[in-house]
Amino acid sequence: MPVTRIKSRWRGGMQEFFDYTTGETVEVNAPYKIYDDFLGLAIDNTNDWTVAAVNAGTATINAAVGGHMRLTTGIADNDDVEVASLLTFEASKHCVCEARIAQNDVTKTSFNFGFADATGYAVDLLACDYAIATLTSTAPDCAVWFQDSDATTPLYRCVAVANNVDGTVTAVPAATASPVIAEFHTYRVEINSSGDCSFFFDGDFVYTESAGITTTDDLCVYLGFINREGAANTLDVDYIRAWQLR
Amino acid sequence: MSLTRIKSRWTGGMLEFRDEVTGETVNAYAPVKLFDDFTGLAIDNTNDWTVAGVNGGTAAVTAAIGGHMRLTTGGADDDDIDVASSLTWEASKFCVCEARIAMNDVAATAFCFGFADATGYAADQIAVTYNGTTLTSNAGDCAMWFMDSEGTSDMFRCAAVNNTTAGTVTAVPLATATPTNAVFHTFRVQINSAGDCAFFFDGEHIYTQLLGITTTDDLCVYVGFMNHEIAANTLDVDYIKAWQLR
Repeated sequence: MPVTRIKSRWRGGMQEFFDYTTGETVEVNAPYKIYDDFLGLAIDNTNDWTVAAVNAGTATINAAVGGHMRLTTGIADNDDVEVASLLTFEASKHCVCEARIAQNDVTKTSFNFGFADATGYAVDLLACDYAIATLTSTAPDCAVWFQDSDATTPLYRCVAVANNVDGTVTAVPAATASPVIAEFHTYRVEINSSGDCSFFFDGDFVYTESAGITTTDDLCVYLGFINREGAANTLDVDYIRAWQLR
Repeated sequence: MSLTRIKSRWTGGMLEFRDEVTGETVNAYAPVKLFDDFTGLAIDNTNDWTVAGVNGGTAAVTAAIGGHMRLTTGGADDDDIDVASSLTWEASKFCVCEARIAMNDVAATAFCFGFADATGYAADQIAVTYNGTTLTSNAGDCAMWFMDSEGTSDMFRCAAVNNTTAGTVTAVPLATATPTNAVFHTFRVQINSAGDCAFFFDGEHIYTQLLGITTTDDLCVYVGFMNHEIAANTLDVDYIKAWQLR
């Protein structure tokens, strides 16, 4: 018999069912929610997702068990792919997003996942980039998880940006999780009506940036992926979920 | 006030809510799930479903109350149509599928529903057919409900096929249900990590084929429909639901 430990809790006025063993939010009783497990035949970039890529980057279905979306970059350094929902989320609605993601080259790529104020940014840029020990936020407002191989130390990090002011960059301790090729982790960003941005990694709380984002900005669920070498690379996404109050 | 009796139960580590009056699984709190109630305008065979019909066979939405998918065969004998999900399901994940289906000509058609190892089979073949008292399995692995008018007696039957070896064909007793035109029934197939395939009809357990399917095969949710006369025929599908562990 499979072992799960699904429990329920109330967060932001919404009822969540989550699996203690994996950190995954399995179900949410929320007024507004989107959920894509990528079980279909193709990514619908007409009706469901905004997909923007340079140099022939793609977002496609990878028919793994459970269903995956695979982002593939172009072959030039800093080629990027961005996938985003509509700008239908807002801090005032206690918005939450969660995804299960695996980097297939942790030493030569970077990704972002979370909420952002635009569905895409300039060519060769994601919402946030991180080189050596410096964050560059292209998004004026965002709350994202990221892992950038241009950093001196590869770690899973999170940050919130409010009206062009960067918050504290916080890393998951290497003892908890060091980036490993093809290893899935669950990333969650939760924003309350004060703009406090809370970050969770594999179900565990990592950091809250108080007043971390502009509360009146329309936000999208945002996934960015960028190459850091002259060869195509891939990122796998098992699911994306997001929900909020009406 | 309509009478329902919705109860919850844990099956395979997932929380199901079912209506004991109708046998329908109303919701499942499962990490991976696919629910299509066919309430849209059309069957999306680019992004959602693989549809393969010979001789002009179609899968279309019919705007019945609650939303239906209607499969329509071509006009020749043995014209068939297959509708399938991606191959994203597996016994190791405790996969379950369920559909509510009505045959509109029980005397001159055949259908099958369940998990199969391919999204379609050769022209004029569906995953399993039944002639006289003989099962013919075109699928190397599958776990199917079926009703074939070429059977000596018209009955709803189920069978699992493991690496081309068919298990026991088990019928729903005629006292329970006789195939009748345009009458809906709920068909459910549940496979555990050992490959045991359990079959349920209108919510009632009918049979479990132990070690019924190869546990490592990628599976799809599959509906096959076939004509057994020289005139087009139809099959209505009220919903298809499937779920499994991550």
